[in-house]
Amino acid sequence: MTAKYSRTDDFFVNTADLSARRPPPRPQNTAVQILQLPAVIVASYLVYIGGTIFFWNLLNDFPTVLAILVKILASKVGIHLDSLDAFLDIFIVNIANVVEAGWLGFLVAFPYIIYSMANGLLVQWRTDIPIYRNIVFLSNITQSVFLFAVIVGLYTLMLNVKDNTQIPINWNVVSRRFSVEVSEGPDFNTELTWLKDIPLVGDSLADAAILRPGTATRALMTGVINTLRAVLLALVFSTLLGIFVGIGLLSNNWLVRNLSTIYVEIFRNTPLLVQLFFIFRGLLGVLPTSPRDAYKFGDFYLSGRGLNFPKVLTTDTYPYFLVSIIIGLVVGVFLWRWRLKVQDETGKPANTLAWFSLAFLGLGAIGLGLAFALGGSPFKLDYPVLDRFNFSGGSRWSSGYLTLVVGLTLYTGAFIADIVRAGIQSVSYGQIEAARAHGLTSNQTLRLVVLPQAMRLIVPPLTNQYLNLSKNSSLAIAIGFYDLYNVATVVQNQTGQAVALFAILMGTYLVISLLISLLMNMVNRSLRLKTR
Amino acid sequence: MSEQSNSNGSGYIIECQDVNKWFGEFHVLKDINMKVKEREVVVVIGPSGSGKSTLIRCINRLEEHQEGKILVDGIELSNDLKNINAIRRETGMVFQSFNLFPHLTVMQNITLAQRYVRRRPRRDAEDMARQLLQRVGIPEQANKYPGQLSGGQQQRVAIARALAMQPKIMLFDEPTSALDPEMIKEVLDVMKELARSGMTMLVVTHEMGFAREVADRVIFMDSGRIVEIGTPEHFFENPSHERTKLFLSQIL
Amino acid sequence: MSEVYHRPDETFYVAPKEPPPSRRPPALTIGPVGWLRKNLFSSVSNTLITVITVGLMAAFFYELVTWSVAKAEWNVVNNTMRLMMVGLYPVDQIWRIELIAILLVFLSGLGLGVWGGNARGFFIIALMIIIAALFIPIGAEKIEPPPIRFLITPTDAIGPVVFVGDKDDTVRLSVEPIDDNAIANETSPFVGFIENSPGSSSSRALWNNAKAQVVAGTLDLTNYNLQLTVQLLDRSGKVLDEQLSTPTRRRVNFEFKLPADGWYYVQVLRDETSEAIYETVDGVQLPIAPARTLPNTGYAWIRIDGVDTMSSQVADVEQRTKTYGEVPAIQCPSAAECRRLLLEENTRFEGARSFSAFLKTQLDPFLQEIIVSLVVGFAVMLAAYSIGNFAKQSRNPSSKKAVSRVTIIGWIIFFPLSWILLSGFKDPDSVHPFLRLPEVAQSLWGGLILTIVLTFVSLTVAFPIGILLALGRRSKLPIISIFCILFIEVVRGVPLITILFMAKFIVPYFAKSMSDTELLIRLLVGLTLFTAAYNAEIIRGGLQIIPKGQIEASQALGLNPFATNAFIVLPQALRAVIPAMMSQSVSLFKDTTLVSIVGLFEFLGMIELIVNGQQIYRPYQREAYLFVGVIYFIISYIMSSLSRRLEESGAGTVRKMRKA
Repeated sequence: MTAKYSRTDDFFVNTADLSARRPPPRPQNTAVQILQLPAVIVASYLVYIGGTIFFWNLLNDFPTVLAILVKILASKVGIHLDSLDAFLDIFIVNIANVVEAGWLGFLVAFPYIIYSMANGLLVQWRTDIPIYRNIVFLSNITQSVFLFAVIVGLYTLMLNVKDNTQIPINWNVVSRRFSVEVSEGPDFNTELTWLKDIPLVGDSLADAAILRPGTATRALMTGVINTLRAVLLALVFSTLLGIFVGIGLLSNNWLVRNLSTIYVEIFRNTPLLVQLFFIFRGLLGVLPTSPRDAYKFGDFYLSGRGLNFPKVLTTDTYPYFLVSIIIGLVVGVFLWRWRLKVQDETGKPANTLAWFSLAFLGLGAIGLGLAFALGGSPFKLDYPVLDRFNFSGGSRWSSGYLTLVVGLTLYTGAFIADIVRAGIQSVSYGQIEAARAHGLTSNQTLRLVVLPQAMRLIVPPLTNQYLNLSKNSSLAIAIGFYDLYNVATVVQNQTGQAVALFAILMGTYLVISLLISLLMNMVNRSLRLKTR
Repeated sequence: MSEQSNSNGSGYIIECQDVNKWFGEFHVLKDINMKVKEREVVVVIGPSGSGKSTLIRCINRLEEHQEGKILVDGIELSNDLKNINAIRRETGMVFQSFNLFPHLTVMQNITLAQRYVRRRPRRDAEDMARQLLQRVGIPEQANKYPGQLSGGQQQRVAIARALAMQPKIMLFDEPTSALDPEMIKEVLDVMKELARSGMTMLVVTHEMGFAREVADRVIFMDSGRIVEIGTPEHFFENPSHERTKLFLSQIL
Repeated sequence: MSEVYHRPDETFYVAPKEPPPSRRPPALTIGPVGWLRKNLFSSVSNTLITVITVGLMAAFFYELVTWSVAKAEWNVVNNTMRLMMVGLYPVDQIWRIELIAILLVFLSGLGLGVWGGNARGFFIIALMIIIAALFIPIGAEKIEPPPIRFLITPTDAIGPVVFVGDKDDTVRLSVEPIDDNAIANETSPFVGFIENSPGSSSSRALWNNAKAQVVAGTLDLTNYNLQLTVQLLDRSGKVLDEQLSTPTRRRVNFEFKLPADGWYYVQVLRDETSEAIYETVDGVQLPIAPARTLPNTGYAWIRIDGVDTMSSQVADVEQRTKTYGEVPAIQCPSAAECRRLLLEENTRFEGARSFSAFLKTQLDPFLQEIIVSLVVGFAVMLAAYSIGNFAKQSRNPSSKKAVSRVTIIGWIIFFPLSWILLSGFKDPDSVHPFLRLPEVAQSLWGGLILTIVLTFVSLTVAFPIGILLALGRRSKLPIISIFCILFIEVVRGVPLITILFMAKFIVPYFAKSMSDTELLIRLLVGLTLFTAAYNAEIIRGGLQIIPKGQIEASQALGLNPFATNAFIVLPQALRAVIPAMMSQSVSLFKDTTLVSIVGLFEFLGMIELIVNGQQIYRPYQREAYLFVGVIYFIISYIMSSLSRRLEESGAGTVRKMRKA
């Protein structure tokens, strides 16, 4: 559809319809074009397979032939390679792997190379653009060569690993039984009876080999749970500590401000491992190990073995309490929304928190009273009791666990404090002035004006710190706490399957990182400023 | 100093034939047909979003057109690397946001491309740079950094930088839109001098005064189509198309 | 005209000719009082916070300081300084490490002078520290050495106590009887060095034994009848002086004056036969009838003052042997009664140390070890800084350029040069005689120098890899960018320790020829890849803030992509991310501690080895880790202050174009 020239080429008035649009031309992407040339692809594979079969023997002998050639050439030049035989042996083995990887690389990259060449040649035939100057061809060929190189490299490494490991790589390691003492976390030598209760897949899961007691998988699961126990607790505490100290960094009390700065500088500039060792060996390690000499705070016993404290168990009257708590929660939420509506319509202050607490706590108290009336407290405490050598009953946080949680909290808390400070400082002072000028109190200013804006700046680096925290939990191996990494190392020592276990290990950490990132991204997106 | 001489004898140094461009689904250039003669000054005006910048950027391959043919000095703009490089050597571009390299001095800004693309020795490149700085009126700023210059001075350096490659065509993408009113005049003066010296110029601008004074032809674009091409006199006094009339009534 | 101005509440008003004089603000708002009011006591809650915080901090610091001075045993640091700094490096080759350290300090000083801002404050503080470090040992010399104590029981006497002394030194020996109260007391009744021969004959063991018996009621300390002979012998065993102690429940003091420099013994003999003793009856001292004589028995502290505890450092032992001669052989009255004080290992400080004792026995040795390096380092750095500063401020721009060129070249060749210096040549004789450096196996490298090597090598090698990864991630070719993204995200998503373990165990499998690679190289590979991924992300941030127009302009000028990157994009991007890169380097410096888990003995690993491996140092974990923490803190703090300074001076931003 050419435009209509109403006069010469130089001057013209367009009388055609100005608003008509046309759809774009069909996208010229790779997938479509490959489909456009199926014959080329099929032909290329036939050539490849045929050539491989035809030259199979030659290919197999290729490394040896190469080595012999090199030897002959070298001897002609005067270098005697007999002493290098050993070297060549290694070389030949590796060359064979490289060649094998090369064939795989060709297999994958071949169609792409053929496609690029065919496309380039077609273009050259049609439009005179020589293939070696065609930027589309150049980028395609670069990519295919890069792909080839990456595949060859990685596959060679994999083959070499397979050749060189004494113990054959066996991915069944996860279902092999092995024995090690992992002193905390869920016991992995017991049957998982609750599996049967899962609908549909319960029975087959309960029979699965990898979930049997004592297998490596179960041990790794224990490790994961230990890691999560430490990480989640440390996340919460470090965030609280970070917020607290971060606000302290901006306080107008000189003492508080400088002490916060000192705390942040000290804990940011010393390595986490040093801090963990100091706590584990220097603070907890000098506590008496015998339970008899443990420090007693009420029913809490702190010794070199850890912190023993009463375990909270639920009794028969617990359901009543639980139900009333849930009802209290629901009523509280409704009250919250009702009060917000009241504030909208009548202007009376909402006091949402007060009403919510009233409902929640009130119903909770009723539930408690009900429980007592019907049969006693909904909770009972299992106190740790000193036996001859140890405590029985109660629950225990091992010193390794304590160290990890405390160390991670202090270390990450320092970083979070700085992030919080930067976030709050980023809110320009004019905002605060405007809020105060309108009569908002300090508290309201913080809650309604400063924090929402500060959060936007805080959340991305906060995500980073959370990721760092979850990765730093792997240092538990240095203090003997059986987190995922430690358990994996132990399993690897026993079974020798380094490759499989490391794959599982890295995969799990990647999944944890991914989950944290996704969660924080959702939070981040909900905080985004709406712009035009 | 071009490698490929003008192969067709029609005397047009830029030709666009049925050029169409899409950004995804959005049809941004519709059936563009236009020609620019050598030594001609053509000004492209139009409302924002009309595609004028896109058109100019297609000419030196900063954007890729999907349909149609663009010929610069007889060289067709295609996927041929050689063609693209040749065309870029023939055209110089001046941007709205100057795009000077902030970490290099003014002298280094102007000599960089000369030394690495045209392979000139440093002395010659610096001589040329000094000449051009003289021409655009700021010879004393040679050793300053762009951040130390005013906006008008920076744009003049940008013009000198483009001129240092001795192009046949100069493309201007709204060169004065980012300048304070006091500085627009100095840049326009340079452009007028350039036009008077016989450079082929394709200018996208809002400066109607410049168009009236210097342009040989004015192209009016709207919504991706060329609406009207005319001489400045005709265009500003007696436009033909309705859309042109509407546009001029809003801005003059 | 004195009534020119009306009262201010009237409608019309003309001000006087002269403005009223400026007054000072009210007294309570300025000066230290004002500062206090504003900063600490500005409101009720603020005051409350201040009070609570001050209380808590005072208690905390008091505990910390008293622990460090009075209770902590810092000898773990003093004695193992060499191990901690250079690991197991052969002692005679340490000069090479010292050379590297001097070069490093010199180059840092040059860099600081040429590019840094005003570092006067830093040098002044350093100078003050060095002056303090110089004067404390001098002062410590004058302090009396703390006392040494032995416990005498009815069944245990002490054998000869060997020491060195100078002419006219006074050695005081006192006998302090112990009674029920002292022994039943919970806290340690004694302060000072306790001889600590191993096993059950050590003073501490005897003390615990006696305490247990008193508590159990099986020991009655009222039978006190110790008659001791105290002798001073010279190195050949000749008795120079002898004094007798009478059995009294009060302290008895003896003084000996040493006639000359040399080795001496002090010997305390229990006189088995007892003379008649006296008892006080109605204020009159009467001899007790022989039937009622008590055996020569009792518990008492023998306290020796004026004798230095001896150091077991190699250098000090050599000095001592040179000045006073070899250690004399001990002649014991009987094998069972031979306990001798010779090495510092045999003494341990008990109780609360006094500040002077702390200075003399803990701080002084430490300072004496480091003072030479401190002074030399300071002098070198000051010289280099002056050169750099002089060049920076000189009018001649080419001299500044020359000096900064020299500095950059210096830094570049520093790394391979220091590697060669550290590792030496396999075949020293084949090299030029001047460079004949014998090989030092990498398994012997350790300590702080290894930490520095790890940090610098990883940083240097990871730098180009990081640039390539960052550019590749932004590439328009999908396969390259996918590969880069995968690599970066995987490496950043797993803990560093897993990468190091992989490097240690799996890398050797990559090729049979690589299975003998040194652990150091393997871990360096892992550390480098890790750092490269993090660097790539940082550089990507820098690449993103470069306006797209820059790239368009260079394309419009005809520059090919390589030139565009090299001259336009990368210089700006790298300059913009310098602060972030510096903080990444600090992070890397701290992360090198993780290699101690996989078996490489850098600074922290060395400490671990010392404190966990050697029985004698095992109780001193806190001191060791505190020292390590302080060193890491100092270095990291300096590096991050530098980066903060850089950021403030504007290096971290893309040079802004001034809008018209």
